[in-house]
Amino acid sequence: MNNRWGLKNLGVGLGLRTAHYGTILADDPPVDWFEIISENYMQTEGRPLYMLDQIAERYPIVMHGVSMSIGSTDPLDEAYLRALRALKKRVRAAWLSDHLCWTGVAGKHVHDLLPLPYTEEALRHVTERVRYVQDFLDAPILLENPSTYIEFQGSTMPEYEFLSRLAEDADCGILLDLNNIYVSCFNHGYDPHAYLDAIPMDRVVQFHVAGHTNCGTHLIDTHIGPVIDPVWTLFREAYERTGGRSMLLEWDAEIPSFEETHKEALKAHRFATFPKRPRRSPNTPAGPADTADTADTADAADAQASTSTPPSKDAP
Amino acid sequence: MSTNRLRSLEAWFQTVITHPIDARHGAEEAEDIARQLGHGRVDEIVTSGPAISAEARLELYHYAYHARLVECLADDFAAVQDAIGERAFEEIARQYIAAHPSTHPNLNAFGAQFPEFLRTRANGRSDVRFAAELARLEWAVVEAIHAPESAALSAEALASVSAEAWPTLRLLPSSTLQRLMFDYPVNRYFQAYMNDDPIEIPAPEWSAVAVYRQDWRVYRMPLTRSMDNVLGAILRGQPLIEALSVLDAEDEVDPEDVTTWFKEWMASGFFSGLSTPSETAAR
Ligand SMILES: [Fe+2]
Repeated sequence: MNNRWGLKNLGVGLGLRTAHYGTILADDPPVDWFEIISENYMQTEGRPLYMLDQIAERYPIVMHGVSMSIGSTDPLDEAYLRALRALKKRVRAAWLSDHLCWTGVAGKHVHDLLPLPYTEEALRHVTERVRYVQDFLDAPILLENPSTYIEFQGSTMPEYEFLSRLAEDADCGILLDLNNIYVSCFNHGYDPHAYLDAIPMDRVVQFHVAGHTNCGTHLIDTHIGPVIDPVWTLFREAYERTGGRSMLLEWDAEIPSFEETHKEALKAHRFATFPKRPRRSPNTPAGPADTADTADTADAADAQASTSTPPSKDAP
Repeated sequence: MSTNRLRSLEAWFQTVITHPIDARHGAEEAEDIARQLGHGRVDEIVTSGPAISAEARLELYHYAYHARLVECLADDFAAVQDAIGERAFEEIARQYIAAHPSTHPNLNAFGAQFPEFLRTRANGRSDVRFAAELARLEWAVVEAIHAPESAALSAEALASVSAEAWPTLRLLPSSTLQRLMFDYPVNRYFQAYMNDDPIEIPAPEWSAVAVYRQDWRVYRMPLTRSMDNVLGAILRGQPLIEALSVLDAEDEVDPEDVTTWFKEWMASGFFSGLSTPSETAAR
């Protein structure tokens, strides 16, 4: 089964993180594609974009945002959408995603993925906004199921029903995060397989997997690897049901070496068969080595992550 | 289409999780909104989980909100955090978060007012006064990372200026260049911090530094008072020939030194172009 838009299965991707720029540009590792946090390349005209431009020359890029705030009752931020559209064109992004959440109201940004009440009122509201954004960007967007730690008493349907109906009503795609399904279902006492059963697989364009932190009474979506087996099992199931989609490992805190991160992502091959990718062009000259003899601290980018706790800005 | 209920719910939730103390205090502050929603208790609005209460669940969001922003500041102001200690840093960072909540979709500029905020919080504490100066330097580094790239003025372009144009020649600064002056030896301290050398908060002492980016990396160049005078004159837009001779006999500087500094600034890409009254060129 293909997805509605015929968007390609890009294979096994990695979240692009500042800590790995040097290795990627020097070694040209055989990663199928990279996902960027869109906001890290906005409000900057300096080094982050310079690095990204080089990486986008060599690898397919997918954009993943954390601040569209599709569920907020504040007006959509036109300047933000324009910046998103410009970045998409600049890096020739294969597609663009954000989360089923809101991230602030009354002009403030809390930089967290906050849960929505799953009501008819919210569904109509979000549907209208997704349609507007897709018209603005002239492209489908994918919305990702978030990790949540509360539910609202006023909700009249489960999250999977809200997400499925939204995808149909607004004609948008789904970025299915298997770890988020696992985390949220644990936190609210649901069966993750039942969640999976309810998702319209022809609308799924991409998967996320990640590690989380088990706090006993609840799970926190920390994006600290490795991925636990039950999440890989969910991935295998979802991958089979869709007939195969691009998959990406998110690792955002306590980030290990590039090799270790990539190795964790490549475990996906144990659970799914990906299309053979054409070999990319051989090593091209690398960018400047990233030594630390200057005041060049970490790019003050990579400030946002798609988790609730703890924060996950890259270390230098 | 009405979204009144959703709007109130979002306002309630945000008030609860962004309260400076904790979610319980936030819920007290948001009581009016809760009443509009027809509710009194927190667990009438959000559910308890299988193993934790509604209040504890809200605290998770409250914690995450503050921790993320404190971490963002700690990343941009790592030396400040090291200088005043993690606890003092977190305390002042939380005050900053309450006073300057983010209004942008990304966090790149979130720390912009932090140096000034620190300065106003010093209240005679010399360590915080020093930290405010250090924060200015760290923020200049952040700004240099994100500044747009500008091509450097070449020595050839400068040499090709005609003799007649020379008296009115002015240099345009690179978009990444910043000149900072301090009441403390801030750059010396910062360098020691970067080198992992043992450091203590220094006594007041005038200092200056140029922060700039070259080949996509950020550098700091310490400036003596004389160097700072000359560079300052250039950056204020004085004709180059006048700027290079602002030093008088009291400065006890060999004119050859001035030439050496200037060559170093040129080689470091401090300038992006030049202008003369009759022509404007940026090379
Ligand atoms: Fe995700």
